[in-house]
Amino acid sequence: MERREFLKAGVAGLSSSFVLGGLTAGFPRSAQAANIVIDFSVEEVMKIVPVNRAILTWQYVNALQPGPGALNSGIVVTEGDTVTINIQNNLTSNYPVNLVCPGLLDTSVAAAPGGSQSYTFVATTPGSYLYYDDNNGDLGRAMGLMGPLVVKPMDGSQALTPIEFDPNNFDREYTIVTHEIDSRINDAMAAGLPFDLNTYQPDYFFANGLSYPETVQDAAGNIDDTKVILMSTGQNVALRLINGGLIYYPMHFHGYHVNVVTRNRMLEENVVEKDTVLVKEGEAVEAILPVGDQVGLYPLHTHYIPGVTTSGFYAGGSLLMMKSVLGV
Amino acid sequence: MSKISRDFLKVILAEKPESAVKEIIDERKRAYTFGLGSIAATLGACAAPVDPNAVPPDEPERAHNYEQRVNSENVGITLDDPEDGDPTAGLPGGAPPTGTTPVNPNPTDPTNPTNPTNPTNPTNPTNPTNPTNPTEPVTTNPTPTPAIATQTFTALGPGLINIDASDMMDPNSVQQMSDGNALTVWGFTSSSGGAFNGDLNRLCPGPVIEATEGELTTIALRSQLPHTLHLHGLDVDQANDGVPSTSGYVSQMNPGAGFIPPNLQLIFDRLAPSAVALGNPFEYKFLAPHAGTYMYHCHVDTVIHMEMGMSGSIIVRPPDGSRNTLYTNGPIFDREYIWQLHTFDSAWHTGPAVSGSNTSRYNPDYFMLNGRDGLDILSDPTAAVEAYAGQQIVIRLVNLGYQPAVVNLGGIPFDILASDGRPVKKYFFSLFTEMTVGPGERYDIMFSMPASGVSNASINYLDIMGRNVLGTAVSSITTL
Repeated sequence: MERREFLKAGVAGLSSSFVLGGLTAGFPRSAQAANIVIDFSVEEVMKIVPVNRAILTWQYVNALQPGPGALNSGIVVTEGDTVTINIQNNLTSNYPVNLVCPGLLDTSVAAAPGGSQSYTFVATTPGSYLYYDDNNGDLGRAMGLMGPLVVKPMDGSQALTPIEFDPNNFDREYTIVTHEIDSRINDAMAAGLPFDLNTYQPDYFFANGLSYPETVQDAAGNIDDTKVILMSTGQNVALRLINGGLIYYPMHFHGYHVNVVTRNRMLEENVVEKDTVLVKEGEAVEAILPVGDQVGLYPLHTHYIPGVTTSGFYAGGSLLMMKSVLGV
Repeated sequence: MSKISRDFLKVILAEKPESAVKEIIDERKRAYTFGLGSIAATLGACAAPVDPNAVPPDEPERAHNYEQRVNSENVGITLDDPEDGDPTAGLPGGAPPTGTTPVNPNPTDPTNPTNPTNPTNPTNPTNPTNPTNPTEPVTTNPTPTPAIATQTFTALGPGLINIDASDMMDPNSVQQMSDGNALTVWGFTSSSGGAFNGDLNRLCPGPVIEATEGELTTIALRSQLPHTLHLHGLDVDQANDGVPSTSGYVSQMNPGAGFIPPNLQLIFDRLAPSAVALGNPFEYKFLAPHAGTYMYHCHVDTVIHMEMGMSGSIIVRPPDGSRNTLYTNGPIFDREYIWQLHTFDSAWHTGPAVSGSNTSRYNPDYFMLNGRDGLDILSDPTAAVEAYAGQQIVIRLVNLGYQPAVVNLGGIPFDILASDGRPVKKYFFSLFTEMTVGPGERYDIMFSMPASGVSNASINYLDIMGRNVLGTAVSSITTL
């Protein structure tokens, strides 16, 4: 595994490199309602973006969590679980930090610099969620304080929502978190200079913390099946499109239409079949992609095409690949 | 779902006709998605539901659920009065809304355009579009609603379509803007040189391409520099997808050149089925999967090529080729427009070609509809809507640009019939007055022409954060 970033402060528990678009994995879940405890430290992390540029970011870091994407802790719990999230604020700058997860934890008290806070909530409703810092307005997400949280249905079914409402079981699932960086903000923060979030206009764009072609290839430049959205003919693939950034992500699927199932845990029953799914700021959209008999390699990317660049260089940014192979 | 709400459902279901039962179940489903804790709130005033004499939800509660049903978050919808339409009254393919249409769904009715005795039917000898009609001018048409052309723009196809790319190799590739500036643009044209609507003076968008559902369409692209046609939304196979790294295309026959890292290109080249030399046509072949509205654009260095104007729209007609409905058994319309939404950043269109680090921050300053901006839009018959009172108008909204676009018709309520080439699953009559079309999205909307007057329709282009309006394209809707 290649390391794409390193902690600025020498805190134990490096944020590891991450598998892009991998099967949602994360904290162990149990069949019965459980108490889940997650410890985050809020760290200053130097994120390496192409080409070999280090940008100061803030991240929720869990030493044991190997989830996909540096900003993507991939918390997975089961409906009914009681979830406790502890945060320890290790920022060296004077910013209190909190964690909210709209739909489950709408408000919370911030942890002062050097301090900690504990948040407990019950995962009442299955679905896909975004957690982030809202104590600093847009700044928290601009700096990278966000991640996905998935609540699986209590009945153990392989469905996005209880089977009663969505009879389409899926065969595979992927969580895709998009976000972006306006490096001018981060650089000003690193230098202790003033910045203006009203001029926010990003120049680096990510899917699960990585930019194309890192979203697709391994260190040797070969297609990495653990990074692409791997699927096979005849399968239903569940996609959790979670927007952790501050801009819209109109995600365009080459080769396929998807069926949008929910938007922010609300069933979508009007505009369902889409090849371009607009995921607004803070939104979580769940969709099922029926692979049918279509095989091949197809891009999935934002149609805000400047977001398919890395600092303006095409092709980069929020671009992933779907790889469909013949099923058995 | 708690026992108490199950009981309540039983009470309601017992008192409702079967047609309403599904609606109620749908509402309850939606209530569920708000979380178990909010079910009681969703059920509203009916907090004592175990009473067997409980009445069905009253109107305020229905309105509440109506808002949930529409999920205004997802398409940026401004809700009209829900009493304007009955959501159970029709589905795609059903009858047009009552009270707003002159079209009788019964084909034997003379007011139905599909009836040959109807003057708007092309087979009617009194219809000026009928070749058997010698010279009959519209003004002498004896009917109260004169005949009017259904389609307001030209198109290429179906069948074999030849497309030429025009780029920096062509010094005459300019677009005239309303302020008098001539911007350098690139684009796609027909082999005769015309772009959208056959216009020789408007290089972008490109010509509308028409295909027929289920039939083979071939687009032969010829270019002097590397370009592709990505068939956006048509779900074609990899070879015809128009992505340089994965599909065949017009290239320099030089693996290793271009923007794909050489090591990655080697992988893709094994998959790429073919490439042809510059100047030779590359043929894209596809079977259009479903009638509807699609896009095409160049996928080479897309951020630049698409913004420079290398994009256009594809319309797939129903299998029978009919031109007065969007898809098989869809609602009948009288007139069809296409509104292609996009912007220019003039800094990209003046001086040397923009590239690299200059393209991540995009600051558009021309806000267009069908390639026209400012007052030019109002004099463009493809953009300014004109029709007779009560006629059913379809507008295909195609966002070819990079900014989310908020579209309103000056308050005229409209229906959303389809998006991204597929009919919507639920159909709401005249519910919307405003909606957001994201980059790469298409929405097909329909409305009934007002009794009289002129409305100003606006397309507000938002910054990519969706927070501020960067600029507006204004068109008009005029009742003749």
